[in-house]
Amino acid sequence: MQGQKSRKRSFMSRLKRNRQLIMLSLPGAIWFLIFAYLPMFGVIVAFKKLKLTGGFIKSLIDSEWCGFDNFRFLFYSGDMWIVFRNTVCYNIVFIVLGIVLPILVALMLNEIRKKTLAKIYQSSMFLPYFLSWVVVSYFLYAFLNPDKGFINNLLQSMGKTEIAWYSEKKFWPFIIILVSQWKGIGYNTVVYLASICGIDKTYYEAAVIDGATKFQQIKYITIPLIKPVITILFILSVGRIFSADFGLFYHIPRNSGALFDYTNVLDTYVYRALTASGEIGMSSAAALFQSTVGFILILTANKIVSKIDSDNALF
Amino acid sequence: MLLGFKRTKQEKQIEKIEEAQCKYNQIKPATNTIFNIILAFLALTCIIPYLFVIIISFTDEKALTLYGYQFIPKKLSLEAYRYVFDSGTNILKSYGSTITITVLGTIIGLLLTGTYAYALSRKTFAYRKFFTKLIAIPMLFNGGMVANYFVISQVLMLKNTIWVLILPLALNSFNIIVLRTFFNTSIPESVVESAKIDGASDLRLFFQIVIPMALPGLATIGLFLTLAYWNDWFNAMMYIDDNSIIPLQYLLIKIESNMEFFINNATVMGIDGVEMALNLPKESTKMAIVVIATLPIIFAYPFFQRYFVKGLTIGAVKE
Amino acid sequence: MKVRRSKQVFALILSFVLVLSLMAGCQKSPKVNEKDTTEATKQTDMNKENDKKDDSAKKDSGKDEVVELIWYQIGDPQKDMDTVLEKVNEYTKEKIGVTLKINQISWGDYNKKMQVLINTGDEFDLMFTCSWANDYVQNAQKGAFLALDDLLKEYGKEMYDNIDPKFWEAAKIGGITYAVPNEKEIGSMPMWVFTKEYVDKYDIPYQEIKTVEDLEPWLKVIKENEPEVVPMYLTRDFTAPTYMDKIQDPIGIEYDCDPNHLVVKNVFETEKMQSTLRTIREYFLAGYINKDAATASDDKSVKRFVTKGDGQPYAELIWGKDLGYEVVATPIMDTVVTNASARGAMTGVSRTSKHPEKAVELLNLINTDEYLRNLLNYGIEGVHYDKVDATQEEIEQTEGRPFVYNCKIQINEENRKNYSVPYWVQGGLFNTYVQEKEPLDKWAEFRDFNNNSIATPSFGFDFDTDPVSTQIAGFRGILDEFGAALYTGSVDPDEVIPKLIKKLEATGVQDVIDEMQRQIDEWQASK
Repeated sequence: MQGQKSRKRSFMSRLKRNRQLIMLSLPGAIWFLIFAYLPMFGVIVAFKKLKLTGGFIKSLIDSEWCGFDNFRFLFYSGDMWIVFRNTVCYNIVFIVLGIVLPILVALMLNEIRKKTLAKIYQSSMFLPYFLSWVVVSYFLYAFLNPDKGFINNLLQSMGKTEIAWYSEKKFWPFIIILVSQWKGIGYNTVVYLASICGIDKTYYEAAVIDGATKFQQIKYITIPLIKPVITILFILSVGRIFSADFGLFYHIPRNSGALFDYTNVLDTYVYRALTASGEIGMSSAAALFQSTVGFILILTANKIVSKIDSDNALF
Repeated sequence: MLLGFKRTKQEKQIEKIEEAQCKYNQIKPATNTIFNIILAFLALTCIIPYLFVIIISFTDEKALTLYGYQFIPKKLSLEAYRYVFDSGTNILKSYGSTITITVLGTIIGLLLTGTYAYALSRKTFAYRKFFTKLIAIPMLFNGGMVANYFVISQVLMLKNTIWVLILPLALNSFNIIVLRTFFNTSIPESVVESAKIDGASDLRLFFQIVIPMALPGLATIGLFLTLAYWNDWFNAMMYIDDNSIIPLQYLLIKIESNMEFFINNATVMGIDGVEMALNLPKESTKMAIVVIATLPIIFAYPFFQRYFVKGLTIGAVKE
Repeated sequence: MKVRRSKQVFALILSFVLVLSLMAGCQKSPKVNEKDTTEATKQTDMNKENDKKDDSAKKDSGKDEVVELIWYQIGDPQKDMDTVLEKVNEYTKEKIGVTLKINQISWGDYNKKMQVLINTGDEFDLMFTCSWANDYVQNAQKGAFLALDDLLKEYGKEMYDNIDPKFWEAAKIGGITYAVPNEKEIGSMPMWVFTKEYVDKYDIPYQEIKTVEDLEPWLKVIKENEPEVVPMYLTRDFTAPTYMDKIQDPIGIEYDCDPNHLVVKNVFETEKMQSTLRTIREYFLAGYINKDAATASDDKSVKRFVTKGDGQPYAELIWGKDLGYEVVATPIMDTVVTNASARGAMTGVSRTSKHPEKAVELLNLINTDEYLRNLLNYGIEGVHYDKVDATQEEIEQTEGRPFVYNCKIQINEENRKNYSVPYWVQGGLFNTYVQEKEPLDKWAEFRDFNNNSIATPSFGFDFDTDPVSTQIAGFRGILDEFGAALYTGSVDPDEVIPKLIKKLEATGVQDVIDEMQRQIDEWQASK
């Protein structure tokens, strides 16, 4: 009796002590409850064969369970191994490059003497972000068109044989990686720039006094101090390892079948599979699959990170 | 401080002082040149396509069909822009609603994200783990398009209101977590402690100390939010029936997806498809829409940029 | 002091935001809220609800209360839709006590949006559906449409009698009619489309060219004499002439199949397709076909001699307009009617409609009333189009033919961009005015064309994909992978077809063939 009372009292007092922070997080929490958790019941669509019998809720209740039937199409085709391989491998490369490249660029931007130039460079690098994948695919086609493309014209004038770019799959991993980094460099750099910006200048001053070179400064001050940001971004991107940017893998290769071995990823596979059937149970199943695997991976990555450096883990 | 492109005299002074201070910690001129060359090259690869887009939008359509994309167009024409301004959508109204939504959305989003991220960043918050897990799960698990539509249109009844274009995008787990990390790294624990010793409450800490010091982080998230709102077309497509408030991005996406549709269904639609495709806007018009839709946000970008390019860090609060 | 103030301001802003969002949520009338909760909890028999609606609707029509119907259509939203609808509503309010609200959804978004609307039980009355958008069969099987047979007898009699019975037959799924067909061309007619300039120059008897093989000598002529012209211009969406009803791509029943013994086949295993593909490959190697065919989209600047198009009577006019020069066309095979082709455009009544009888009444009115049909089709007379008298000659020539008016129309080029809808979305075409450059008896021609189209042996059969939906999901990807390259002759069919078949088999194509055969046998037995 006494224990319960004191537990309740300490619960209430803990609540009271934290009341300001709770108040601060309450609006966001409510938002999540309404916009994220409320619709979550929709995942059961992945396990049902939806038949319409009334309003949405009623239809869901009435429809029969079908176990993992809706998931089968993800594993049925012989191609799935290729699809999964493509998705994961590209994402691994993207994760690594997506951290290394923007940091390099951010560091360079920071060290440039003329700040105005740095601003101009940085703003320009943002421009590709504003072009949609379809528009980018037009430009790429202007380059790689087997008939009138820029590159093939160049090859021809140099006396070399032309290449059927959209039928030769061996070039495409490079093309895809190049194009994806080019498009994202501006956006990805921003986060690192901002975090480098927030580093206290006194650290650098002290380092200079101690006689450190620029390189040493970067190695011992800058990088360690933006490590939290790097870690978080790394963990978050690991969670998306089974999802791919649809526009990149569908529009850039112009849906050319000859390239599928290197351009078919989970999202394009699902898209093609479901344009015919439009069965929402199956699309829901695909999304659930991606989410679950991503979630497991995030938990794993988080566990590993918290063992090494518990401060910077996700939770 | 926050608004306006012009920098105040005070800011200019600070920048001069910082540059002077930095003079002795600069890289060698040779390295500087190398960096400049690399960055200039990168920047050029990014500018040229966009410039190209602008050029094509001013190219005569017939010249485009005959000669393809040319840097120096054979014939200039304003036809594309005339077409867009004449078409069904009222461009000015579209701009107006897009800007309103973006500004409102960014403010609301920053408020909600900032407060939540701050609470998460305080190590003394007893329920930190719980609230972190709360936002971590929706990061991956989603009810799906149908369930979302159901909740928004039939439970919340936000269909055809301006809020359906603002609220769903205001928060997302990624922004909160990144901002939380920014709060953790840009606010030295010593500052917090000394403020606590002075008797500051969490709220006061937030407004008077944390926000000024975390400007780069806030600017980053603010930028992300602005871009997300400006580029959003999905919510408009799903929830808005009234065509007078459709965002500009939707116009472009619509054209692209229409084109895709006609290509994929060419055989079944037969001649009807050909007829319909005749009405689709041509190349130059598509490019014109890209320009119209992206130019404002490109002009707004420098506003955010000043917060995360070194040279302007107001409020370096020292002890 | 400062702290308290900022705290207050902050709290104020937050509460302001929250209250606003809540207010927005509570805007609509509570009646709709009720509907959801009652549906979820009460044991709602859909028919019972419909009966209740019927009663209230019957009461409405008795009391002449005006009812608003919501109609979802495919097509880009038009600037003048509201002004046109105003006029429409004036008319329909008077005639049948109905006002209409049309929501146009653009082509690329239509499927997605309709799927969401249907699945969440959104309230509306009418929707466009066909075999290639908002799929008719799937939605009917899911229960998205109301059964119309009884309603048609009472409220749609005229339109039922006017429309070709073959359309109504195609509209039946499992013996029940789920949508009203919009009458237009009923068959699919793949054609060779020739650039008139070269036909005239080399005196080519194009009307005798039927099969792919027939093209050969003429492709040679063009290749040798016109270096700038692509003899046979193909693009990535090209499919070779297929003599098969592809019920589920690539599985189907050949046109020349014995109607008493239908056999389901994989199109790539048929002799006909394989020989066609080999011929096309020869053409590719001989340089008759453009090298980038597999990835090209139609580049209008390319000069070409022949392409393939899917046509209808007078299609050359439209192709010519598209290209900017005159073309002539000839059919590749006899026009056939399949389920897919007969379901090219239909209008269904949603199961969530509160006024199904009024909906059918409206469709009936549209398909029979000259004023209303043309108002919806072309816009307002004097603004979007003007009437033009037909010549005496034409009137005499077409005397006695059905669907002939004594005038044509001229579309106002200035205002046409403010109101330009896909004509076959709102109703049948046969009671619309013809345009200036078209023959006065265009629709009579269409009727003849339809009457001369032959139904395939598999006409009327609907494939229930449920048992094999997993296998089918894998087909599209495989077809996308090999389709364009095979059809355009870019790869050697003898090498690639075995690969394609192997991949299909790995995805369970045999299951689909077996299942379809089983269903077809059942269907035949029950006929």
